Parts: sequence; C-alpha cells; structure tokens
Amino acid sequence: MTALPRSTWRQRLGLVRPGVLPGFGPALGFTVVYLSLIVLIPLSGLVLRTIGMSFDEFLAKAFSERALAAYRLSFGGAFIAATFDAVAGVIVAWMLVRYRFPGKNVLDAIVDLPFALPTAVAGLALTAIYAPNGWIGSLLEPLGIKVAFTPLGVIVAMVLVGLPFVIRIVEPVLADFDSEVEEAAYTLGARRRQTVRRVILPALLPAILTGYALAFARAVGEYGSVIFIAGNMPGVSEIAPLLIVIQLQQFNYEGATAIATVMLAASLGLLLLINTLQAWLRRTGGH
Amino acid sequence: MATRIERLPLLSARPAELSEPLWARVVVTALAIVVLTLVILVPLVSVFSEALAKGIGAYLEALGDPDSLAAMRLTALTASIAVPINLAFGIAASWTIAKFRFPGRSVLVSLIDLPFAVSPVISGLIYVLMFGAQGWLGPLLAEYDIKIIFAVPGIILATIFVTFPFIARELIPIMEAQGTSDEEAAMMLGAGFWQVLFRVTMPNVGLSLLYGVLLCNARAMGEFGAVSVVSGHIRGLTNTMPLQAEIFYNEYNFVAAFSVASLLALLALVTLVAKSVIEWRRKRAPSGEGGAG
Amino acid sequence: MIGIEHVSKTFGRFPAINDVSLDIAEGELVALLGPSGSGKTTLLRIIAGLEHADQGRIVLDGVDATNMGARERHVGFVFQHYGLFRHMTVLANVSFGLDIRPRRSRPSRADRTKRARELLDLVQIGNLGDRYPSQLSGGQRQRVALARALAIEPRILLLDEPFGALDAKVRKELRRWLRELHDTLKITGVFVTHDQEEALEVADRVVVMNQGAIEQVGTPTEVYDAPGTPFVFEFMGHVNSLPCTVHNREITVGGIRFAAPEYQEVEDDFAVAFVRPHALEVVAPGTDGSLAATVLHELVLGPTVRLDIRVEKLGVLEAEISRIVHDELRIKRGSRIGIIPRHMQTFLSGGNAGPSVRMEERRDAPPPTPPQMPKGRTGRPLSEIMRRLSGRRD
Repeated sequence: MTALPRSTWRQRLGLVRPGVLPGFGPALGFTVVYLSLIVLIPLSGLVLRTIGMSFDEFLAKAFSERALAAYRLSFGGAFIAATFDAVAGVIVAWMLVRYRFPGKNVLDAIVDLPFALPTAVAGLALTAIYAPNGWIGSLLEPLGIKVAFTPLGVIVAMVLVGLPFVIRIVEPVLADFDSEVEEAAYTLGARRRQTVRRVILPALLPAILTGYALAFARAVGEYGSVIFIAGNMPGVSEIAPLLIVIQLQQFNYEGATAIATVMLAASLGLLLLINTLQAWLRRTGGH
Repeated sequence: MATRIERLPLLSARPAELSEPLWARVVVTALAIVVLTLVILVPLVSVFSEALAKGIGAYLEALGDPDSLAAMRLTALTASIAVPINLAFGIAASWTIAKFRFPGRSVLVSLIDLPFAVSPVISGLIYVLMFGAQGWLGPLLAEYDIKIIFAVPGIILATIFVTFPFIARELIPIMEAQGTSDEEAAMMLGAGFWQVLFRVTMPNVGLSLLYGVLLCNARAMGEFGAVSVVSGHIRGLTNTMPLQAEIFYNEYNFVAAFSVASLLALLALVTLVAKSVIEWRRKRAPSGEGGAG
Repeated sequence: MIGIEHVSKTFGRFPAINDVSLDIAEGELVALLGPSGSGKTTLLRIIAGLEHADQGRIVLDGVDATNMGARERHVGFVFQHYGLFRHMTVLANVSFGLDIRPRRSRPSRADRTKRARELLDLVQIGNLGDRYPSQLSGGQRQRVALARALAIEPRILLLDEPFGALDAKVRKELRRWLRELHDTLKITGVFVTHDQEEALEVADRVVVMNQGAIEQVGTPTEVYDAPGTPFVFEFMGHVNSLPCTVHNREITVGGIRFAAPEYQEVEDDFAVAFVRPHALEVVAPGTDGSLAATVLHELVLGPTVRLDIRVEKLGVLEAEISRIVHDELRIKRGSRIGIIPRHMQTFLSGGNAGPSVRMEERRDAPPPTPPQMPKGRTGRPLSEIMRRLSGRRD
C-alpha cells in the first residue's frame, strides 16, 4: 500500500498549476526580481525613512504652512482642472464619435499629443503662450487676467495633461453605445434633449468618472508641465512636487520624504479608486 | 403635429432622428474645435514658432551648441539602455501575467501600474533616498567612488522606473485576449520555450509590441521630473534634452530652449504618426496582429 | 389601419424595398417573413418612422404619416435586442414613456408608477420591478421591452425579430404567450421573423418577402398549402422540384400524365412541379400511375420516416411517410418502390403558376403532421385565455 505523496510547498501555495505553458518559473522570477530592484526596494527606502522620523517630526514637516499651501494648490488645482476636463472631454468625445467633417481625423489624432509630448516641452510652450507678451496672455492682459506665474496658470497646465484621459476613456463607450437604446427612447416619445440627458449621459457616467479620476491623479503629481508656468512662490503658487524638489536641494531629506509620503498616500488612494471605477466601467460597459 | 424630417444630416454621421438639431451640432463642434485648438494645437505650434523666432540660422546654431549636443547624446544613451531593458521586462511580465493564473497575480498587475499613479518627482526621490549622499547606500557607494545620483547611472535608473510599465501594459491585454491556444499548439508540435515565445507569441502581438516600444521610447526621451531630481544639472554631463531646455530657459535663452524642445516635439509627432499607422493596420487585422498575418 | 402604398427604399446602391404595397387591418397580427436581406426589417422600421421611404406613402389610422418622425407616430416598438436602459430599474424603464411627457399631459408620479406596475403584472414579471436589466434573463428582458412599449398606449405594436435572441424552448413559450397577449389587448401588431414556423403559428396573416418585394400575402394555411411562387414554396418548407411538361390540362411528370381539370388556361410549356415530401405517396412498385424509385437512405423519426429516393429521370427526391406505411411496405435501403405525387403545383417557364393537381390518397394512411396552425381568435373561449394569462410565470 503506497502512501499518498506529500504535497510540496508549491502545491500548498497554489503555484503548481498556474498554466500549461513553459517558462513560468523563470519569467515570474525575472519579473519579481526586476520589480523588487526597481520598485519595491526603493519605495521601501521611502517608507523606512518615513518611519524613521518621529510622529511629531513627520507631522511638522508634512503639514507645515508651506506644505499645506502646496497641497491646496496641487489638489485644488487638480480638482478644478479635472472638472473642466470632464466637461470639455465629453464634448470633444461626442464630436469625435458622432459628427463628421473634413479634417476630423486629424483632430482625433491630435488628442493623443499630450500623452506623447514631453512635459517640459508642454510647460515651456504654455509659458510662452500665456505670458503677458504671449499669444493668449497678451489678449487677456487688458482684461486684467493674469495666467502665467499664477495659480490660474497651474490649472491651465493641469487641464492640458488631463484632457486626453477623459476623451480616450469616454470615446469607445460612446462609440459602442447601442443605437437600439436611442431609437427606443425616440419611439417612446423622448425629444433629443431628453434622450441625451436621461439615457445617454447617465450611461456614460462610469466612463466620465474614471476619466475624471485619471486626470485628477495625473494633475496632482504633474511637474514638468506646471513648474514653468507656475510662479513657484512659496505659499501662493508653489506645487507640492516642487516643494519636494526644493527640500531635496537643501538636503532636507526628511522634509522631502514627509511630503512625498503624503502625496504617495493620496496617489495610492486614487489608484485604488481608479481600479474600482474601471471595474465598474467594465461591468456596465458591455451589453 | 408633424416635424420636418431633415433628410441631410449635415455634420452628423447618424440619421437625422438620432442626432441633435443642427444648431446644437454646430455649437458642440465649434466648442470641441476651440477646446482642442487652445489646449493642444496652440502649444504645439508655439514650440516651433518660438524656436524659429530668430530665423533658421539661430535655430541650427542652438542645436549645435555643445551643451545641446551633449544633452542629445545623453538622451539617446538613456533611451537606448532603458528601452531594451524594459522590453525584456515587458515580455517577461506579460508572459507571466497573461498566460498563467496564480495567487498574487493582481498584485503584480497593480505594481506595474504604480509609476502611473506616482508623481515623477517622487519617482526620482526614491532613488535619491537610496543612492544619494545621505541615502541608505550613500556611504557605501562613496567608499567605492561609485556615483549614481548626480550622474548618468541615476538618470538611467530613474528613466527605467518611469517607463517600465508601457510595454507591459500594451502587451498584457492583447496577450490575454489571444489566449494560450496558439502556444499550446506549438508545444504539442514539439517547440521549446524560446521557440514558442519568438515564433508564435511575439509575431502575434507585433503591432502592440511596436506601439509599446514607441511609447516607452517617447517617455524615456522626454521624462523631466524624475530625471530632474536625480540629475544634479551638471552642464554637459548630466542633462538630458528636457533638462537642457530648462537650463536654456532659465538663462533667458529662449530660442535655444525651444529649439531643443522642438526636437522633442518632433519626436512626439513621429510617435503619433506611427500610432495612427499602427491603429490603421490593427483595424485591418483585428486580433491576429503583425507578422505574416 | 396601416396602409403601405408603393413604398421604395434604397440604401446607397442597395435597393432594400421595391414598390411594396400592403394593407393591415385594425386588430390584425401580421408577420413579415423572409430571409435576411428581404427588406422585412426595413419595412417595419419605415412603418415605425425609424427610416423614411424614398417613395410612397405610409398611412396610419387614416392619417398620412409619411413625413412624421417616430415620436409623432405613437407606435410601440420592441427591438431585437430589447434596447433596455441599463442604468434604470425595470420599473423606470417601463414608465419612461410616461415620465418624459410634457408637464401638461404627464400623469402624476403615483399614476405613472401604478400604470407601470400594472403592465409588469400583465407581462407576468410583476415582482421584478426593482431589478436592473442586467439581472434578468433574456425572456424577462423581452417582457420588459414589451411592457415599456405598451406603456404609451400605442395603437400599433411593432416587433423586430422579438424572439430571435432567445433559446428554442423560451422562444416557443413566448410565441404562444405573445399571441394570447395580442388577443387580449386587441392591438394591431406587425412582427418580423425569419422563422416560418413562428409566422405560421402566431400570425393572422403572413407576408412573405424576398429581395425587397412581397412574394405572397395570405393566411398561414394559404401560404403553406397554396404557395403562389416557387420562392414561397421553398421558403415555407422543404419541397421537391420536378421538371415536367404541361399540355392542355395535363401535367406529364416522369412519363406519367396527371390531369388538372380545374386549370382554366390552356398551356403548352415546360414547367417545374413542386411537391412537398409528405405529398409523395409511397406505394408498391409497379402500381398503376406510379413512378419507379429506389430508396437510397431512410431516417426514422418516431412516427414519421424520411426517405431519400432516386426516381428515374427525375433525380433524388425527399419523401415523408408514416411509420405504418413504411413498415407495411417493408421499406429499407435499396428497396424498390413506386411514388405518386398527390399534391403538385406547377410553375411555368414565365414564373406564373400553372396547373396543379390535388388527388385524394388511395390508402387510409394517417395524414402526415403539418406544421402548427394558428389558433387565435377563431374559437378559443375567453375563459381559457384568461386562465392562461393568470397562470404560469416565466
């Protein structure tokens, strides 16, 4: 009578049958090692340094007056910019999906530009445009509106980096929208306005919110596009990432770490939110 | 009461009944065009306009400046190291994630998404905290006179961090969608791992792979925040093109700044064009991408 | 009630509908039957106002509706994939048509909810009002779509392949149920289908369409028993086509003459004779007036048997006979038999119908099983309808 073979540690961990194909072990190993070296270990360095500070020191550095002002600008600006992006993004997506006119394809391709364009290039360009002697800045100056070197400039830059997110998430959902549903609303007596308001836009909500969250997350951490056009004056127009850089330049590693930890916590929270929203979007996106 | 039926859906791609009234279509189209122009087109055009503000002579001179050339060399070097390494990672990671199921898989996926959620400055910060003068390994490195922060290796490391997700994220969905049947068939015919990978899997995802590499490269060359933190801005040595543009700008040498920026903008445009071509070819061959078809 | 007058519609180069005219009486349930591309869905959508004809008129209840949009026509439309509003509950879906009415003519919220609940009860899903469409089965979604269309009290109900997306068993149940619902509500209905069994079972009249034109309009019995064109013959079920000649009032098939005394014209022509498998009587070989044949293959299907037989000069035909006859004649593969076509309809070379033959069966064999004929309003007592409606849930 043979005894049953004892289960190996792999079996107990559930790793035995990940799949039928070869190469799982090495590929997984390489991936994990890579991620550890590049991501996990450096990140844990950040965490360790944070833990190394006393709680009071952490609070003092993470929530100093200057830091709070920076958070207000980064998060508040991102909030406004993402809202604008959500509205404008839906309008642009609607136009791209449902209308046609000569040259529309070119516009469609352009939407991806902020994804591919280096942030510093965008930052330089925006500053040139919105400076008092720039193309648009000179138009706004007589009206008393200053954009460059003010918080308003920060928001303008955030709008640029966030817009493609909303458009690219909403577009496919809108394109796949079941025309039977629209026709049904029509046969039931709805005017076009009612159909848009009651049937189409609510169905787009998961996509719009996901795009909003993505744009927000990007805008909060944005550096290159923003620092040229921001005034970078502490307490007024200084974004949180810049504050981190300044602390580093002064070799104040603790200060930089504290602020970075706050931002990282916010980013991770946002990431969680985005994943949840995307799962919701996948669930409701199909038929 | 009968409404007039519009027979010509001007502007709209749908039958008149399923579209907004003409005035609404015009307004939405106008608004959309204004938004896209203001937010995206105008900045793009201004880069070139500023670069050429003093004529093409000054433009070429700025590009020929030794600091510019050094920056271009460094940018090219960084990309030529970061992209292949990330390509290897991308293939390994997507193979693991797309073709297998195991506990902790979703953790891996989230880890890969991490750089997107993290500010580039923080991406650079973590390396400073590790390798900087007051970092963990700082004293150890100083002992052996190895410079990472404020030197080229740091730049490459930071670039690798911010760009490693691109290729994996392009590959994973499509490899998942294609399933394992092709690979299993190859296995049954006696193919070994590398053969399966390079003769079966990679050709199947050719277009996505290419697009991922393009994106990875564009980001590697254009990364600013992370590199700025680790670089130290040493003229002629540790400035990539974006950093050099910033330096010129801070010195009020706007033409030079925008000249360097214009090269990067051109790179972005090339990436976009390549993307359009890839998308167009993707439409023609839905999930059997690239290769022999 | 619905008048379709000389309607044509072209999509680009493709002529979807070509000069179609049709009248549908009030309270009728009519099936538009045909293969894909026949124009039946296009015609339905033109009636609804979701497409507009290039030529012709649509008259609804005496009013020229040709230029009206679907909104004004006030017809109920049930879509092939239901078109339910996914982000609204079932109840909200059903009351949508009432919720969007202009304030003046809009019922109160309580009334709207009440009416929606009544309709949900009528379609037998009263307990699902608070669910979302994604939580329902296909058959349940279909009922919601129906209730939603009925909420606006349309005078006409249009259904686009209503049961196409459901599995066979659910389809059969819902067919019967739709017929009964129609009888109760006394609404004028038009539905599109490609399934001839469905059309024959449910409709009062069947409109057979092909390539944008109407081939035949008639009751299910007419369309099945007396098809007017070869296309209808073939579409309504399997049929054998035998080359023959027509002379005076006789059809000569395979060397044997059959008299067709009712035929009024005098023709002398080549023709094709259409014979249904169950109209081929199988007799002992050599019987007077029969064609010689050999059995190539047999398929026993319970009470009937399908035979593939080779007939001299006519090729391979399909016959369907009862089990009793099959056993009596001891038929098996290779057997020699005689066949006599009992019901034949010829079509002349110009496409027109020629003489037809209807002979009584010689033997007392049990008749073959024709497809289900519709019951409808011809005789089922109201009490039985009510019993059924209040009975089974889905």
